[in-house]
This record gives sequence, C-alpha cells and structure tokens, in this order.
Amino acid sequence: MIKQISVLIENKPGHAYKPIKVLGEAGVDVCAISVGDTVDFGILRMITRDNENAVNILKKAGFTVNLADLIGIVVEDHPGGLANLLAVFEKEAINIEYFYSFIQSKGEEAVMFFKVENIAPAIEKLKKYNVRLVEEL
Amino acid sequence: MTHYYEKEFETMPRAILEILQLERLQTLVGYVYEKCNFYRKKMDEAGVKPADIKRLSDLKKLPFTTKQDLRDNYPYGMFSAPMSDIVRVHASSGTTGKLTVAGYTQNDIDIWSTVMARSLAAGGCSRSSIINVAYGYGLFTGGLGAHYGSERLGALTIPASSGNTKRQLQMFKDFKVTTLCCTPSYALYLADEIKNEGYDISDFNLEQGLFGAEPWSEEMRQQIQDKLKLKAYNIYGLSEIIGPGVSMECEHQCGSHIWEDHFLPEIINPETLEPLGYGKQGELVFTTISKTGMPLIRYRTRDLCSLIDEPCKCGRTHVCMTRIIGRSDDMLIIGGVNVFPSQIESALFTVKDIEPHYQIIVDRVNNLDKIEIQVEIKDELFSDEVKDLQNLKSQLEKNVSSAISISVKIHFVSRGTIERSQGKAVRVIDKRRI
Repeated sequence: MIKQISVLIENKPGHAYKPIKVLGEAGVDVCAISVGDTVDFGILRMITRDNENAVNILKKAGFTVNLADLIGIVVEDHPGGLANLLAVFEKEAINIEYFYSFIQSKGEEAVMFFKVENIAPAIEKLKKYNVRLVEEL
Repeated sequence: MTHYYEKEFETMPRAILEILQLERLQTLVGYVYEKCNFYRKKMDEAGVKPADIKRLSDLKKLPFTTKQDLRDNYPYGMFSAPMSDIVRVHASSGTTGKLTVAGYTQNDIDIWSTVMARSLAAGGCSRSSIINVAYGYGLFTGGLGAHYGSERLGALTIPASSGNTKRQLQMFKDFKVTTLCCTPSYALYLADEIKNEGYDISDFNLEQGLFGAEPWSEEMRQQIQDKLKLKAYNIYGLSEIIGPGVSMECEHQCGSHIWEDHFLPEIINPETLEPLGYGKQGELVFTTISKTGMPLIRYRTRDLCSLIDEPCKCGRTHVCMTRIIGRSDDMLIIGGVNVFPSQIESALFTVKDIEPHYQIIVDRVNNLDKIEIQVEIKDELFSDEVKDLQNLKSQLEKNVSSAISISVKIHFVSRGTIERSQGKAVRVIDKRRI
C-alpha cells in the first residue's frame, strides 16, 4: 500500500501552487500528483517520498490534510498495458474511485496508483493475477 | 388628493389623540396586569401598579419587553386573552430554532385590517384599486396582513403570494393590477424579469407599490420607480406588534406615519435604555394600546431609527419614523425572512467534527439576497474523495436551509482562511448595498 496525502484547495488562482511551494521549499519530493475538482473546491492529491515530513509541513502551513491508502501497480508502458490491468479490476469487481500515474516513467513501465472502495480485499484479489504491486517508492 | 381610510383618527388633533392614547394605555396596563402572569410578575418586580400610570410620560415607569421574553414564554405565555378568544397565530423565526409567536383575537385582526387599510389609502389606494399581494402567505404576516387590509379598504385583492414570477407578470397585465405589495428586492427582481418574459412596461397599469419587510434605501426606491413606473412607498411592521401596517408613508414620503392611536412609539438608547427625544437616533420601542390577544408593553424592536416631530402636509397628525438604518442586535433580514447567525451556527454543528470557524456572507445578486457560508473543515472530515466532500456539503446545506427556511450555499475553505479575531468573531459579512 502507498500513502497518499490530500489537501483541500479552493477553486481560485494560486490555490494549487501554495501547498506545492511549501513542500518544495522544505525539500520534499512530490513524485505523483492529481486533482479532483468540483465547481467550488478541489482536492490536491500527492504522493511524496517523505510522507511524515510532508504532512507535518502542510499542517503547520495551515492546510486541511488527509492521508489515504492507495494501491501502487506497475503497468507496462505499451498499447493495451493499462487495459490488461483494468480487465482484472473488472473481472474481480473492484470499484475504482480514481487513479493516476507517476510523474516520471522510466523506460518500458509506469507506476499507477489506484484508490479503490475496499483496499485490503482488493489487494488479495489482485495477488491472484500476474500483477506487480509496488510497496514502497 | 390625499386619501384617508379613517380621516377622523388619522388627522385627530394631537391634544385629543393624547387623551385617547392615555385612556387606552391605562386600560391596557390594567388589563394585562389582571390577565397575564408575565406582566403582573414583571410589574410587581419593578414596583409599578396600573394606578401609577397617570399621564403618558408614566409609560417609562413600565418595564421593557424583549424577544427573549417571547421565547421564554413560548408558545402562549404572552397571551393576555383567554385561549378561546385567540383566533389566529403568526410566527417569525427566533434565535434558537423556536418560533416567535404572535396571537390575535378577532379585535386584533380588525385593528390590523384597519391600520393596513389606512396604510393602503395613504399610498393612494382606494376601492377601485386592484391589489396584487405578492408577500408570502402563511406564518409570515406579510401576505395575510396586506390581504385583509386590501379587502377592508374594499379593493380587489389578488392573493398571489410570493414566487412564480411568470404568473405574477401575466396577472399584472391581464388583471390590470394597479398596486403591488411585496419586498423591495422582489419588486426589483420582477422589474428585471419584464423583458425576459416578453412584456413591455407599457403593458401594465401599475400606480403604486407598498414595499417592506426588509431594509431598503432611497436609491432602491428610485430604481423601482424608474423600472416599474409606479410610486414606491415604504411600509413598516413586525409580527410581534401586529404585522405590516404599524407605520406607512403618505404621498409626501417624509417618513412613515406610525398609527399612534394603536401603537405608542418611543426611541431609547439601546445601551442605557434611556428614552431619547425626537430627532435622536436610537432603538424603536412600541407599546400596543388597543390589542387584546398579545399586547406588548415597551417592546424593544431592535430596529434603529428616529422619530420626526414635524407636522406633515398630508394633514395626518401621527408622528413619523425615519427609515430603519440598522439593528441593535445581529439579526439579518434576508429576502424578508428574519435570520439569526446563531440559527445557522447550531445547524452547522449538527454535523460532528465541524470547525467552529465559519463566516456568513450575504450578498444581493440580481436583486435577490443570497447566503454563502464559508466553513473551515478539520482533517477528520476532509476526504481525498470528491463524493465524500460533496455529500458533506449537501448535508450541511440541507441542515442550514431547513433551519432558516432559505436556501444557502456552503463553501469549504482551508484551515486558517477565516480571520481569527481577538474579541468577538466577525461571523457575518453583509455585502449588500441597500
């Protein structure tokens, strides 16, 4: 399981910049990022290499912060790679809330992060297949 | 030409009016002392007996009555008449979710109809007027108050109630409406919808409008008059005293005549409670001297204004009050509905873990009042999933909207966004330019 940090942002200019800026200044490396947005608020979701430190920094800076568990999976970086993986999710009826990928993919493969409804049983189901789970970054 | 409904009373010489007022005040004080435990107890505590009221200036010996007293004696404790004589109740929202109740005997309904008929006449209405009552009908006094007054005057009365703008405009045209009764902001809204609904102002026969139930300004009056091509009048009232028709402007529009043979006005300093003279700005206080259901003695309205002591060219001898310029408490009037910030607060806190940091932002968009509530949310309530936050948002919106009977928008903000104050938190930002 991979920890994800979420921060509440308002749907206004500069609101995504502020949390990224404080993490950058503190030397925390953000390696994946995604935004869930609505008409009047957004959720900035990040995966960093130093979660404990990142949470402290963000809380101190006054942000509303949440930690969630995601499943990290290596996906082959070629046509159909993601489709093959999602076929497993479909077959096992694992409900995906959202997913996104690593900022930088190296060579032939990418890492993708999945938020699912019930994480523990989902991981058990995925282990039955030839799925490469990522435990740590 | 000046229209009157009861010329004899409306133009009564001051000296005779004051004799009538004293007579009614003395009768009233004796009546409530005998019939209402609340007043007897309060007067005994203050060491005043009905016999101590020898002249009008003795009014100041009597204790004040507040909205808190109405709340403490909810629902029927303030009634002086026996329950079998009460024929109607109206209510407005209070601070704690409890309604502020007003009870009426048939006598009170008759007085109300009469003062409202006088008010319509002062605004130039007559038996030949066609009056569209677009105040809400229900517990709110606006609709039924204007309705009974209009019928009493003998005018054609259209019980349109509020809302359904399309139908209102259609009636203006087809029913040849001459008179509009509604909140000033709704009047402006209607004016702006004329074109959108495919009408032209020349389709209408509007002559005058009686607007009230919320604070408004001379600038708004100009706008309404320009857009609706009618003469806009300011009418004032509150359910505790009787409803709309406590005071009303005449054609000279130099303040609103308080129907003083029924309602005795005073202006006090809201801090020291000392009575202030004419021309001084302070809190408006009323004593109802003819009602029997729920008479109120020295009721603090919390509305700030002053009394004008100048004879009016219309011939009416009853004193005028200026426009309401503010409140001495934190009550907001939003689209004609009374809202206390504490109602919003307790509705927010029905959700566990909600932060105590919130701010209520009131604005007027397209002439309609809007409320947005900015709420800081704790880490415990925050989620990485949009649907969780949207559920939380709609739950909060539902709770607050049902508590104050107005729809609100909740806006989540990050921790620390709402300014922390050293003393009393700034809970309300009212951006309306009235």
